[in-house]
Amino acid sequence: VTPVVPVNLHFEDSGNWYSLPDWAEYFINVGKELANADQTESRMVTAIAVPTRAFGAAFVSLGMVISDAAARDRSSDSAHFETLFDLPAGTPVIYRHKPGKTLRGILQAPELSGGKLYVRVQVHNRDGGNLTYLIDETRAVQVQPARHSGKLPKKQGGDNVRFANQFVDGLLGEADPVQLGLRSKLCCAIVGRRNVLENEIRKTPLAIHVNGRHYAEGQLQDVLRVDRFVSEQQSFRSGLIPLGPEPPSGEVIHDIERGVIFDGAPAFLRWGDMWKTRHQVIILDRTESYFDDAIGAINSRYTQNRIDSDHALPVSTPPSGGEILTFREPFQ
Amino acid sequence: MISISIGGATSVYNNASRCEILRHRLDHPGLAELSHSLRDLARSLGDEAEDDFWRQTLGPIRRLAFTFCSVPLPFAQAAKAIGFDWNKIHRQVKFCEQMFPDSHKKLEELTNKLEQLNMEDGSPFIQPLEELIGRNGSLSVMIRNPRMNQVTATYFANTPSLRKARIASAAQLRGAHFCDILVTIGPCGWFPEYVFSAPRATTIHVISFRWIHDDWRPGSSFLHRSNTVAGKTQNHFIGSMPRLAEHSATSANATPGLEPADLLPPMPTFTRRGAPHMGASGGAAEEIVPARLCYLSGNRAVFVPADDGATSLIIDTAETGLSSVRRAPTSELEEGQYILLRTSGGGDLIAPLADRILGDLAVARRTQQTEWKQQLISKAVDRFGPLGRRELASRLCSELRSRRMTEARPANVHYWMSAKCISPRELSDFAAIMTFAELEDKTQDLWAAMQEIARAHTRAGFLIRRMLLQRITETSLESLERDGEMVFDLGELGGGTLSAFRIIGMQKEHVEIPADQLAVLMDGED
Repeated sequence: VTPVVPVNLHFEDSGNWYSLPDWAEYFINVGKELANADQTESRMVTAIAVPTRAFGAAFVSLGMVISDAAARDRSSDSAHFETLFDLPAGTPVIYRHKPGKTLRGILQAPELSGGKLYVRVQVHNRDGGNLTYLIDETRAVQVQPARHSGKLPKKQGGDNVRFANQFVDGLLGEADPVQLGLRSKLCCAIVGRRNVLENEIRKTPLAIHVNGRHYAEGQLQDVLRVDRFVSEQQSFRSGLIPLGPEPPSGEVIHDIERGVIFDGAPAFLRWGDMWKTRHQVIILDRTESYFDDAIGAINSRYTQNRIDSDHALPVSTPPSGGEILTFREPFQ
Repeated sequence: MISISIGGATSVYNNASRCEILRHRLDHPGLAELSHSLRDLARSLGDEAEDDFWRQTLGPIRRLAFTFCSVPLPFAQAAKAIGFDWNKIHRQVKFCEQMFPDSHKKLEELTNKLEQLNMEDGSPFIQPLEELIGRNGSLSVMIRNPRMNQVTATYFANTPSLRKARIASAAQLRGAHFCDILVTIGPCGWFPEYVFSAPRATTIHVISFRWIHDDWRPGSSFLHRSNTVAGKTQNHFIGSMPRLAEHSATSANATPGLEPADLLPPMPTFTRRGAPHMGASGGAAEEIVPARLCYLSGNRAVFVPADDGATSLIIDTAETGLSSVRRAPTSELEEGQYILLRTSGGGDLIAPLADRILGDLAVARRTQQTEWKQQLISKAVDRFGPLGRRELASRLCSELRSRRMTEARPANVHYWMSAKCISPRELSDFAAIMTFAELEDKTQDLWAAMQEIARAHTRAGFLIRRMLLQRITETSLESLERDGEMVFDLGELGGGTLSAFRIIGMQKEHVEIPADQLAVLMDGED
């Protein structure tokens, strides 16, 4: 498992950029811890009461997606290398040769050199000198099959907006940005009001600062890839289940891999029982209408379902005005 | 939920850690005596307090006493603002002498005390407010009854020493940081807990009377009592919370005798009253519709339709753009939204406006609409007997389904029969009921006519929405958020006014009421 890259996010307020506040980092860490928590026979329930739930669910999701990407199983690298090895020459691929730079390429026949196997990725055409990279097993994940024409340019710098995103690279480091861009899965889902979450996830500018320097701008959506906010051509990494009359589909209930985040009391009260085997984070705003009802429902579950477990529970003091209760429930 | 930026949320967390809550305990012997006497009289009456006489007598008295204890207005002005009827109370005292002689003396003394207070020049809250303004510059003031917001704001604006005070509401304290100094008039228990546990101010002054119990303090919401529990089965932690401090100059010798709830005016009961035509049997011609009671800010309520597909026009400040004014299904109505009701001009606005859009065709189309419904009901009565409308709909539905003419449910058929409904959505359903009503040969003509009405309704709804959106864009919604209500003049759309009222709760149970009681504002303080 690769170490989780420290998140160094900034937000914009009245034209100035500021470091992400402690409360936001707290929510990100809740998501990270949950993504790594055992989920075999019991699940973790984390209820957080806060003075405002703004951005809470979005940042928990960010932590889960980052941590999930970082926890990519290294044993899959060799399998991936073998897959590339078996693909026919001419298969279109992308090659992420350094952070933030992604090249279009085509696979050429693999090569044995110095007793070591390499796949070969050609990135420039004949006029450009047929530039070709040799990729060994340790870097295999940087090469991914892709949907492009296979036609190569004479030269390319790697600033391909379709495949490269410095903001994502800055957040995920070497974790899994290519996978993030290409393969859909539901690492987690947020249940809540669509317009509020859309505003937080898609319309709030964020930036990464490196060594005090403004490095790249983006939105949470660049990493979360919420299914409802991507086009058909784009992959998704998390889901949004809007509050409405229709309950979530069986497919959505089944496909979520790590956890569900309930953004507010109505979300939890309406569909808190839908996921029986996934971690849950419930973010309750002290100012919302059904706060007391949701507290009652959580207290009831805590009293009736709480179990002893050898798995450690996260220990952290919530932000000012906050309160957190964490316990484990058996799968039902 | 009000949208808050990251910066705004940061200010909220800062408030939570820095906020100091100071209690100021006031004395006013006359008001204390009145409050205790009122509670003692109510207790001595026991179950008799539920008698109509006492409800009509003690209700207004409790409302006035509560107003004196909770609104920073000179007493006489406060009594006038709530429309207190002194003559009526004097009459009640006289009646009491004959009806309840044992309680007459107590009631008379109570009324005398009220009158003495009414003659006082001022309110005990004004001096502390002036002092706080002197020390802090400006401040926000929150009072328990939002219906007193407007009159209090006007009083502040017209009083030089209070001009820097502005009225705030609990609903406004759900956003980001609201003000530096917030003053609540009355004990913490009169306000939503979040005002103090999730403060939107740097300092909160709680100004209340010494004889009203007030022991609120920040604590755990979850089960635990201690601040921190870490173990194998659960972890529980509480972050830093607002600090509580007694105001040293006024905290000595506190001997509270009344609970905050003792002073609150009686809860209004909204029932289906004033409906002389509402018989218990429910004849076939009578239109009874399912409804839910929607509780509104300021002790008001309204019945909203609960048929399948029934909607109400709302303003949703959590939404933006076109979605902020929309028709929302009854099942989706929730606290914090604002329901729009026609408050002058009478009844529903959509239908009259649709008729204006239909122009010369309106009478003919409405006649067609009425006639096919009457024919349908008449044929149903012929077939199934003189049953109530719901039972008729149920029998008709069963018959149509058994003949495989429709997939509809009884609730759908019931709605199709009602004057509120134009026609079924599907032509196949319409054809089925036309066949039953022996209007088969007119199905196409009537369907086209009903579609014409439906288009006019859609257009009317669009016009109202557009006008409201324009008004909302042009107007500050501060008074809507502060007072929980706001009037929108619809001059150019045929006169009358639409008023928006904040929804504070929805009754879960459905009730059946006469259709003409839908969307009629009921006032619990009348």
